[in-house]
Amino acid sequence: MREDSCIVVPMDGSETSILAMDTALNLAQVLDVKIFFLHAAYFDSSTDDDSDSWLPDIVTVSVGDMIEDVRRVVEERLPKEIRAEFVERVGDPAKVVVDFAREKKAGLIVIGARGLSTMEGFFMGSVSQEVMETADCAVLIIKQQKEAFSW
Amino acid sequence: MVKNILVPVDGSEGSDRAVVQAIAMAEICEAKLNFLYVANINQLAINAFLSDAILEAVTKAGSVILDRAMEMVPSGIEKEAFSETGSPAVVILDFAAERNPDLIVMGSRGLGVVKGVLLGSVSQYVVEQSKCPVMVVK
Repeated sequence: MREDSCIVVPMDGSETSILAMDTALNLAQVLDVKIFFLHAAYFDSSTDDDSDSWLPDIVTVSVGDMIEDVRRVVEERLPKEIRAEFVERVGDPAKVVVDFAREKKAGLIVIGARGLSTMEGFFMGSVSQEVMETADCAVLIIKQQKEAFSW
Repeated sequence: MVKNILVPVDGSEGSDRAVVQAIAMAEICEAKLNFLYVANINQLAINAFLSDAILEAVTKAGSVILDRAMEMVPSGIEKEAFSETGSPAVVILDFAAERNPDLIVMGSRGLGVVKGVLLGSVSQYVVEQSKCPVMVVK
């Protein structure tokens, strides 16, 4: 990877996205490149509603809070010597990730897999699969495992 | 630590790019490169119908591809070539289950969602089923 290149890590706060983050941190340390942590979702804090709802909490949860939680996780784990930026984008997550990587001329996307099987993935849609298929750069897909991948 | 990288090769442009990327990774972490070529032929068909001449041609094609990958590796990096027969995705996963590589680096065929579903993509299948991280190189 070239030195002016960078790594994009889509973060949704899930376990595999945190593994992807740790892997990217290990990689960035060796390669001395910048990391962009990207939160990509259909909603952000501006779409949050304060009013009470009859819908279950899991549906009405504040996206703004979720993004803040993810940002906090990133900041807590980020070693000082690594150049990194936390970015929020709104839109179709897979498309946002691929477009963002293209815009930043990223050399690599490190993304966590949701771990759905072929049929589940076919019906439910898989962000990591769509990113893998449509990205211009290499994509490293991190599976559910005990620890991050180190060098 | 990444000590073993599995690189399935098929001689395509995508697989060449995967080899280049895998070499870069191996240099960083001083890992061993394991190249795997899978001749896509059904084992039963081989036994029943294929003549020795055809088998030999298939094996030769595989060793040409493996040799080319091996030659691309700079000296100082440990490397090994493996040749197997069968359905590529299944053989790659069996090989990985047996040898537990820390990382699989492979090319993508560059099919879109629809074509990939219809034709079946080896990299997609490996990504879904693999226990270790998979890097898909474009």
